[in-house]
Amino acid sequence: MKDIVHTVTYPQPVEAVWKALTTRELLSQWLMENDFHPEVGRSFRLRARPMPGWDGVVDCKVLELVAQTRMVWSWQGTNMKRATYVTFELEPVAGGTRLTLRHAGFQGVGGLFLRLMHSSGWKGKFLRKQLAGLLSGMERRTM
Amino acid sequence: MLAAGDRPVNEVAAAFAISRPAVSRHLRVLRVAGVVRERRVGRERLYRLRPQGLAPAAVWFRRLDRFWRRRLAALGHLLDREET
Repeated sequence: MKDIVHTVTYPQPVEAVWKALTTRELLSQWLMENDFHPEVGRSFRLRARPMPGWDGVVDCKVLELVAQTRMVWSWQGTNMKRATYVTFELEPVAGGTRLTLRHAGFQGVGGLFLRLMHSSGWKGKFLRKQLAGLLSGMERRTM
Repeated sequence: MLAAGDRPVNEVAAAFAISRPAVSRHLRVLRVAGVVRERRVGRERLYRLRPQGLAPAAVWFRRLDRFWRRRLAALGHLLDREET
């Protein structure tokens, strides 16, 4: 499955945008309630309003932190089988700051397929992988 | 492969170099999950993909994409407010 990528340019300087990305109180204002701490290796939790099929909790961890340049989190909603990755990148541009957000690591159709095989009790790893390939062509058309 | 249209079990088995019973088992799981559709022609069972069987994943993905777009817009409003 492809990544989610958004690029936004804000008229504020890099310092201001970085602060909004890395300060608990400010994060809670634009993203979600959280117990974030800007330190590599620190786990934290984001909380949104619960919705059907999801209790609103995302478990995260700070994986990379390069001041005013780049921050990477692992991101695992309680409804997700394994972690995905969120990267924030800042770049000073004329008249402001360009933020690129990338949310990556989705399993895609092949992964969905592996989950189905797994939940059915089918343990042949090699065959599972081969058959996952059976569906991979679908991905580009549906995702 | 199954996206291209109806395929009999032995053709699928040949493509993956695994036994026909093993392939049948996989296809049965996929059929129950709604990912493939089964059609019987005489004594033969034909399988093909159901694109709509994969729709929940696509819906979820679009929702997350929209989530980020909105959050980043909210970040913009916050930055504007903080400035004043």
